[in-house]
Amino acid sequence: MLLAGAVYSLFRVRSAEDAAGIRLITAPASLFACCVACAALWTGARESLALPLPLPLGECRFALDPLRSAFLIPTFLLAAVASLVLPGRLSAMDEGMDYGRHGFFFCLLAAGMVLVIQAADGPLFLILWEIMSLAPFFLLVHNDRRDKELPGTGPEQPDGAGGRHGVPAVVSVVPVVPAVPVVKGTTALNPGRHGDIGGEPGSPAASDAGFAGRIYLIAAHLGALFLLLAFACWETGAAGGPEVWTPARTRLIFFAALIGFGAKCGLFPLHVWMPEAHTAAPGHVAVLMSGAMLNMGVYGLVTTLRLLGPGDPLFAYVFMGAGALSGLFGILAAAAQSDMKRVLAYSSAENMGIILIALGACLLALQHDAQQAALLAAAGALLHVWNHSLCKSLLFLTANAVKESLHTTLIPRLGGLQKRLPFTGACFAAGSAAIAGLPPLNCFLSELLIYLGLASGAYATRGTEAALVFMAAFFVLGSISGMSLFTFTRLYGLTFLGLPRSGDGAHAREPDAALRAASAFLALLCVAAGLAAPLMFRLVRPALLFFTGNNAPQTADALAFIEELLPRYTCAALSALAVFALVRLANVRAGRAPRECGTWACAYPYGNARMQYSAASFALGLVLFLKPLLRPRISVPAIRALFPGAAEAGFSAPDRPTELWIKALFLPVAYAANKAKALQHGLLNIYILYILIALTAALVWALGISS
Amino acid sequence: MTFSLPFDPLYTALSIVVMSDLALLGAERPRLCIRLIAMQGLLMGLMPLAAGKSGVNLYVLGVCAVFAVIKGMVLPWLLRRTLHRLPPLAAPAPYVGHAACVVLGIFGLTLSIWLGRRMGIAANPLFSEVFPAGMATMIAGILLMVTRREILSQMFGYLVMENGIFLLGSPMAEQSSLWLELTVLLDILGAAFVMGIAVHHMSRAFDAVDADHIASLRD
Amino acid sequence: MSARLLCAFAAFGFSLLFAPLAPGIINRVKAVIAGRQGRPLLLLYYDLRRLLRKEALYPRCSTFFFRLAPAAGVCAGVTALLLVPFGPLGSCAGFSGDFVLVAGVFAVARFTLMTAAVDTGSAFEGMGAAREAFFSSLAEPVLLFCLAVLCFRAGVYSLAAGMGSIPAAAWFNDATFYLTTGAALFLVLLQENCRLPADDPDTHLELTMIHEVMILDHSGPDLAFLEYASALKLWTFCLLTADMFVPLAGGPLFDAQGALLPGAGGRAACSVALTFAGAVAVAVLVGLVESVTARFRMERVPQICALAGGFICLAALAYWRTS
Repeated sequence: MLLAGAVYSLFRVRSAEDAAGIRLITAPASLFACCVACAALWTGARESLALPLPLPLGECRFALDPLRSAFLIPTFLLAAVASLVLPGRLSAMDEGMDYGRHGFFFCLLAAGMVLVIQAADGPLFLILWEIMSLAPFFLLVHNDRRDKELPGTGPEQPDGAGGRHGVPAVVSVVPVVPAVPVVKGTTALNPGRHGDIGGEPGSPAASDAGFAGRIYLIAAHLGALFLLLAFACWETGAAGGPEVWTPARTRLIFFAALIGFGAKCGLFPLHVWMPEAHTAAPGHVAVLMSGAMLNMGVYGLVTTLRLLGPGDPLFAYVFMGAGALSGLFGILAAAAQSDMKRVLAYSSAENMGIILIALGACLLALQHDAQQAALLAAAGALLHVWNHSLCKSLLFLTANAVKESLHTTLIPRLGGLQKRLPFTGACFAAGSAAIAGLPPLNCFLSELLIYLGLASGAYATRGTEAALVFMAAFFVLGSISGMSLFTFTRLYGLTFLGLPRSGDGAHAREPDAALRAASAFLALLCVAAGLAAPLMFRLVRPALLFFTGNNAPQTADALAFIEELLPRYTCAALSALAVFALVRLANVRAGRAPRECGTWACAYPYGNARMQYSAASFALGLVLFLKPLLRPRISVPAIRALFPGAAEAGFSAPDRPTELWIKALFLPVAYAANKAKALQHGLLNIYILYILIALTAALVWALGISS
Repeated sequence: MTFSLPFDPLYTALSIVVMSDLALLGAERPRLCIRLIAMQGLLMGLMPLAAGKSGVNLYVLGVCAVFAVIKGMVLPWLLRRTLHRLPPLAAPAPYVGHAACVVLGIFGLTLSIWLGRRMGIAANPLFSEVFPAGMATMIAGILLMVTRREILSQMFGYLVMENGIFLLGSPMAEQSSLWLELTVLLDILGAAFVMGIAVHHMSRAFDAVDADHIASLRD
Repeated sequence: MSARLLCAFAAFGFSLLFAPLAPGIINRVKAVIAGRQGRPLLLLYYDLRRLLRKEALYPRCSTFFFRLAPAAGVCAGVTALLLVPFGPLGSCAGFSGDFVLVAGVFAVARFTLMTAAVDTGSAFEGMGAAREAFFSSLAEPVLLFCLAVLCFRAGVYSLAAGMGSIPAAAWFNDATFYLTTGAALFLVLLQENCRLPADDPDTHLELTMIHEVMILDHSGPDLAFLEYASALKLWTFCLLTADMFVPLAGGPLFDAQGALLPGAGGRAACSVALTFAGAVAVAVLVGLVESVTARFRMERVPQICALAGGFICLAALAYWRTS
């Protein structure tokens, strides 16, 4: 605990210095901290610390418990990884930027996440949350100087970021929120920006950093607004005693927290910032954002549940419903994208959905006193948080390597990279296979536990409505994992295999050693975490018991069940690997001296790179089948002349929620704001008149009406 | 002599009815639909026998035979006759796709089982047995009527819905109510006749049996 | 090693040996129905021997993934056979949750096969990969749910306990449940093993193929491995379906330690024979279905999975209603 504080100060001290310096200090420090967190989790340590600070903040309380340790581990780990690759990424970006500032915000993000997890009282949590939420904005827009001068993102921000002065950043929420939608309303409606043009290699689908930064800022602040509401309700409720603490209030807190934290972890209709921000972010930032910052949303939800207690059955159903929605739509949208990073971003929404389904299953099982199902589902959820962090950061790192090497991440322009970037390709393949839930890799393990939890829940609650919900969740989870295999086969296969679709890719080169080391490290962790199943479970066990509570005989039975199953799973996985090695050996021996030749393809000799199945054609079957859900825009050129010229057919999968939010929320605000411009004359005397009117009205209200 | 089947005849019959509902929702060819309706009708005819606890007497047997003949033979025959008179055109696409209809039908089944459980044990225990299937059949019939564009399919829906209502009524199968059912059935028979003729005329007038054309008559 | 485990391993070896028989049976049934003499029953064995003696050719643009697919496919089949019970003998390496692993290893095989197909850079093979990816993504939840429902219906989480020895009384008590689940499983078998009406294994038109078009460029031993892998997969599914349809009369055959109960030897032999006959019967049924149906249009193929999904939902509802 104290050590975390030390690390924090280290971050701060080094922040202004050279980028390479950051790596030297932060990487080992956070790796060490990661080990400490692991040890703390293993032993189930609980500690707390109170820092008496001067008045504006009051006393700051920090705490550490198994659940917090469980969330600290991926944060520290990814902070280490991200700072390891930081210098290489910075040198790959444009020259004119301010490295020191970038480093500062980078460290601020990492430290903010660490401290958010440890904060033990409401106001402190919110302040740190704001710091953590604002830092990525500056990391996103730093290389887009134009955007810094735009109204609405200008004056307030330096204050907000100046968490360094200890000014509560919450304050800055209030002025920023009304100002940004106006900007957004007028600039965001850029057609084709957030679309996805399949099969058409010339389209500029890469989003610019400014847009991403703005949309991120809006989402973060609206989310924070709901969190503010939740915390206000909580504080007043806690102060008011039992008569204030009604079920309605609990539900209000729950829903506000769900929206607030859900926006942070990118649940489906609130995910709008994610595709833009993750696409625009440079590698190390994307690692932290996708791998670690999304977990903060999950952490917030888990904490809310712990505070509110699992009493209300509605919570479980809402969790599972929101998870199913996010999972299905996330993976559907991912399957139709044609930009690597956007695929990865939507897949994050899917994985958060899986985690939510598992958490909801855990709650539902707890309500029905089914300890076995609850433990299985909670173990699956926690492990999936870790596993998703590992896989997603690995994938973002390698995608970033592709971007740096080829300056695009559009699948229609890529292909055949495995030959040119064998190392990156292998790491990407490992990440894809892992996140698609293939055994024996890590995500399969967590999905196995969740499946078992759902099945066990369906048995334990047989005959009630809950059983039906468990079964439906099982089916939904199966569909999600089926489609994620589709998505990642397409992503990896079309990007790295076959023939290069544009250019010869001769200038493609492997990234620097730090990035390669980081990717290899993460890929190894993906494999190891899948195979060392009993160890992983032993590691999360204290956090599980902390979350689900210990209900003596039943819990012991359930733990025994899981601890018997996992070694046997590992044995089966290892023997499958052994079988594979043997078969492969036999295959190689039987192949004698293999020769290389041209692709046969049914004796069609004129095949070329442009004739390969493209990103759009690969996904077309699924997209057409699920057209009512996905609502793609399909463009097929009409053939009129006898000898038609060149034409392009394709489809785009626009982000419907984004369009919906823009239409429902921001356009009316922009309209109102435009109208309100009439009030602003720039004449001092009129402003004084406004003040007079406002004061009089307040006085009249205070004295005349309210009393 | 006691003879026990290794399975419950009522439950099996109800399962087949439910499956034929879903098959009707998914089926695209009217010929198949008519066959399914005929099968359902025959099963409906047997239902008072399977459900009746009062014992089998000649009277019930006779009424059952009448039901089976009308529902399982006469109505399908009428439908087939109407179908033959229609021009052999492809049916217009339904408002809601067939696969989606099946999914909705499964939801309907889930809903009706859930409602059946919620209802608790009815005074007549047979009613609780029959309720989910009857309700699901009714929902399937309504779905057919709502989602299909062509008149013949809407008529199928009408018949299926009637089967559902019949199922719900079958536990109360006593002599008087059987009479009531019989009169209702004859009404339906008449309706089917009228419908057949109407469809015939309409197909001559519009060259199609798309229900959208009726909408053009509103003013 | 207990008697049960010994028997299970013997059955496993038996399965590995006899798996290539299943496609032969299917073809023979089709030939008999069509009034032809048909190919030899053991044709696949001859083919495998012939292919193994040839040399392997690799497309120039292909990578490691192209070479990985054959071994991964065989490995998936072998692993699945280690987990799938051979009737009441149980499985060799089953554990609670093995049904997820069975679906998982087949997913691995698919992943490697699809990447191998894309790896050739050929439009045809990419087309096959796209179709396989699409159709199997629909089949996977249905398969998983089938196996899961069977397992948690009995309150257990391993295939051996959930499917291997379904008591006859329970089977007949709830025939609706078992028949609908069996129908779903059979449809998934047709879809996943690329049989008619989902895919025609005998077609020679690249534009309509799914599985066969993905392995166009594999040759020699690689092709032999792939053929053997698909035979193993077919056999695994036949075994699963047979497990489902062959209930176990009388009590259990083995005690908790895996020793044969006194007097159960005859019944054990009988049920093993029944399971084998059941698997062969499933293959015959596939042949019958292939004889009477035509291949679906490509955009209709998802309807097979939808139908299977409908059946398994009905089964789940039947279970829920009676529980």
